Amino acid sequence: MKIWRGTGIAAILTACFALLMVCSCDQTVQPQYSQVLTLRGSPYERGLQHGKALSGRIRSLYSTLMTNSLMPYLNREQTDVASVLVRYSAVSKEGKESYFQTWQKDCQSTCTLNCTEKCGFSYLIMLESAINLKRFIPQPYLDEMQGIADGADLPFEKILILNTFFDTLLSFRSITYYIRQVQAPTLEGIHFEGVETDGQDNDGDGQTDEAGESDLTPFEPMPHATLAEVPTNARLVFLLHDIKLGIGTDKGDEPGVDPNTVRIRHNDTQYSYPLDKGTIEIQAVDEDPEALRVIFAPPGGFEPAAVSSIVVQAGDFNKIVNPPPEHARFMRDERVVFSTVGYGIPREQIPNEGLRDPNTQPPSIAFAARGSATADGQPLLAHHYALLDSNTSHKHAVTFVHVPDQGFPFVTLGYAGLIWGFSGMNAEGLAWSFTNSDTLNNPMVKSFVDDLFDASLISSGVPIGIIGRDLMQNRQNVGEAVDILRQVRATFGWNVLVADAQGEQAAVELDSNIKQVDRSGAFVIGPDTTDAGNLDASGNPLASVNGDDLRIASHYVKNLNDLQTQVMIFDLRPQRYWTSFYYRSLRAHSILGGQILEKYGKLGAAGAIEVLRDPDLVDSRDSMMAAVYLPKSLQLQYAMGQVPATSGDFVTMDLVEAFKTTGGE
Amino acid sequence: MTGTRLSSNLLLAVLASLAVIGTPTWARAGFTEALPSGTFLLDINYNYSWLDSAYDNRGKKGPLLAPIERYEPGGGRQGMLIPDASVRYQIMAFQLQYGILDNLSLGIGIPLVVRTEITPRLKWIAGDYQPQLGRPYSEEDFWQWAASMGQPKPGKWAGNKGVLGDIIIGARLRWSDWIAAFGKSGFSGALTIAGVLPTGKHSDREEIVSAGSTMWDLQTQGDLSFHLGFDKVFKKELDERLTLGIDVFYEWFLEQRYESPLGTRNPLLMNLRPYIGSSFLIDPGDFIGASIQADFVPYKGPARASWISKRSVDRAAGFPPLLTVSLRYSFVYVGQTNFHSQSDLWDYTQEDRWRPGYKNALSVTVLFSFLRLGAPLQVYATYRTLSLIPGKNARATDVMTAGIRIPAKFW
Repeated sequence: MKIWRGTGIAAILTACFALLMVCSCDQTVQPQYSQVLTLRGSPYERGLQHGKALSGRIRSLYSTLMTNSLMPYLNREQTDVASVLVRYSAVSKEGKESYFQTWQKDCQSTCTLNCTEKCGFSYLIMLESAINLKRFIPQPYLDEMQGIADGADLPFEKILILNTFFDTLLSFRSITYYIRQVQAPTLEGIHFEGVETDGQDNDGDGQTDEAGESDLTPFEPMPHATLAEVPTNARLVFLLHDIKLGIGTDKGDEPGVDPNTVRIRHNDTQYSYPLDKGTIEIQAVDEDPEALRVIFAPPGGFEPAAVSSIVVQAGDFNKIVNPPPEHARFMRDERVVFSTVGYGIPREQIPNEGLRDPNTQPPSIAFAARGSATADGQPLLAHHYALLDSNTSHKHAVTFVHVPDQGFPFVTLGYAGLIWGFSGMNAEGLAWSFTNSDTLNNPMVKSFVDDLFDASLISSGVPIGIIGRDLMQNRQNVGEAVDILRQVRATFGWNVLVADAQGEQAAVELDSNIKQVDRSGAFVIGPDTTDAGNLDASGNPLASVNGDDLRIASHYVKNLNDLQTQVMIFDLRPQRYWTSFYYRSLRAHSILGGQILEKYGKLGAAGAIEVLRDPDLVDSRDSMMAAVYLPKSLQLQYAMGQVPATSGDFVTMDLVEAFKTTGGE
Repeated sequence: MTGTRLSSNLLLAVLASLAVIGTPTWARAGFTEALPSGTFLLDINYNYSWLDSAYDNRGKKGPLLAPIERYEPGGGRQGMLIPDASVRYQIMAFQLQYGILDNLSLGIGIPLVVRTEITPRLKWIAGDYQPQLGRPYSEEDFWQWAASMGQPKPGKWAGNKGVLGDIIIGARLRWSDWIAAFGKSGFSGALTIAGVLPTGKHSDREEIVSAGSTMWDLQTQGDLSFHLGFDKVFKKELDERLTLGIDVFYEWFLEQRYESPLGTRNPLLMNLRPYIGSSFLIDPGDFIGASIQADFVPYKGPARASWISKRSVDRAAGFPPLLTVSLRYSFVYVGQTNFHSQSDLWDYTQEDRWRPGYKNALSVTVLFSFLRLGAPLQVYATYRTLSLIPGKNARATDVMTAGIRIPAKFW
């Protein structure tokens, strides 16, 4: 009996253990990276709701993206920038403090927290630009930012920087990239040996084997093939050149192109010198020690009746130690495309598309379709934005539904702490999206043009996100949107695509129009292929496949001479000559056109999503968000919260429901 | 540079899974042994643990920490850091036990960390081609890059030199003594409860790789432990040369508050305070498990009358055998560890590394007892391994222990 009693005690104790076990089997679950937030009321009230609801995410985004990533990353550019723009020098010259040094000293004397960040070079750039951009932001949007700051218990300055850094960053990036590029080797020209005697009209000028037909100097980056009907045994001779500016961080280094850095990619085969000596030959240029002649002929010649793509890259002899790691100056990858004899298509009709290259990723794109392009004749707008994820942006994605007390309700896809988004649609069925389009026609360059070495890197104009907010809240249709875009002073280069419920659509290429000459800062492109304004010099549509569609990527197709000017020794040139986006954007634009054509008449939300998911159009590293808007039915399908954005499910949102004046989150 | 993953992972994953010093050990083997009334037992042992790998969510052994992808802002993947960390702990444990009744003993254990050493052993797999460099980042490139962002490469860390751990107080009641049938059948049952005094030290919040000396750091036992043990001694059948035991246990950990780092030494990786808040809470996953143990007596040894046995050979024969070999297997289920800060995103990155799992521990102890020979001394050595049988979400720790025990009775 007693032993059973003992067993009973043991059983009770064991039962207690079992009960405890039940209490500890939970497993952590990933928080929602993409959230939906409905905001109602006045600008300040909406901001306050935003700040309160997303306080943690706002802090997280600011810290992980700005404090721990972008700010220190941009600080690395200070040496390069200060080598040209002396006010940013961290070193006194002739006993005189630079502007930056004085500012930093003042900052440090009052700073109590996070002083490394707040008194650093990049913070100065961000802060001064933010303060200047504030002048261009209408008061209701500033009230909304104030609401966010109050709701999240953060300083307004941080929220202002968070809302303006994007515009500042891209202008800053363009100028620093340009400074780097002018000190790197350049492709001066290409000579196609064998073309001058092949009996073909290779350049489409109606003449055969005329003088200079084989010689493409100076080199011109082209959206289409450089030559057509090239002999398969042709040899390509690239003339590379590296100059020393006498200023900048590379002054004093040995000038010239380092032959050991030459890399040539022919279609999907990579060659490099000296590994592939024979396929690549190097010749010094006697009369010019800073130049190098690179001769390329693939083993067995070029494939007949085909399109060949050549990507050439080289570095110089520099040993840049700041910013580390030590490296030479490398030129932008230059791509030329040509057809070989028997292909039979004029060069203007062969896009400079190239092949998939593991070294580059497609940029942001958008397209609109309507009428004969869609299965039901209804309009749609699709958008995929890619630029900067850094393993953090996607965790802070938010779909904001605004039901303002004045203006139209709208939805916008953005991030915690930002009052704006990268695309959106309002209750009137006006949808908008944008991509960035590198340009030197921006306010920071204007300062350089005006003040030379004493220039300030301060952005000005209406931030692109604020433009979008205005379109969403106050404009009914594409016509009204285009009117605003024509008038606005943009901070940088942007391509905007708008579409409405009536089926109207327009692409607008913006720059800052810094020279204020007889041109607008807005270049409007429509889908009508009978309108000469929508055609290129060869008569091909700029951005439409068949008249009921429009597409944009991250380069200009109409604003081809966004800036062309000389400032002292600096030759400021249009984007196609220097931006790293150019060739990959050409490729994306071309592939996107092909995809639209393939699905013409069958496009709908599902088809548009298929296009957005095309691997050739997806930046696998920095894809941020993708969306398809159906303006007529006020439906939205979007994907964000993962990288790439399109790898996740597209979430459907009925905006008629979402815009109701009550309910929601 | 999105560095918080690196920092926190390293910080937390170096918490070695030690064992041994926790529950007070007893004069003989088994889960139900208690000291005779009025007897003291001083146990001093030295523990050396090494930890180089961990079992992941699929039960596969790999580096202690998950690989970390590094990104160039807007420029793709720089590469992958593989923090193949290595952790060494040296701990001295001082335990004193006392038999209040023949079936009730109390004990106190004082762990003293002699030294902790963590070697990050960071490896690198190059990522995407970087056009501005003309090459992908090499490991050296990456750390130069990081340095230009203000972040030094984490080096070897050594600390906890002579640092006190959490003091353990425990009691064991062999309740089966009150039920005669248990004794007759050779069975015994005991309940052991232990708790800790929070005298241990938290890890240095500003260091990327560091470890503290609390029970949470050592992963040895909970702040409160409940053990229910049963032994079966084969007295008649095998002349007490075999004891089989089973022990079920629950280890409960107290929620702990940590101050958030400011990034004063590691501005990129440890600048967490601006978004996770000034402090955060760790609610550790509790342990639930069971052990089975077999104690073999290959050699009882002679029993000599001595001052310890009050010159009685019979009494001496009742002392522990000269040589006992114990084999133990423990299955330990580990619950989810939760983090609570102002950032649910950061919490998740931490919790993801501390998912529920289990450990399979094997240990072997060889104990020499000289009491029968007239010397009040026991010497033992234990090897405990979690690396032999795969676990899940658990560190594959190995520990060697060497110790002495000195029993004493003053009245």
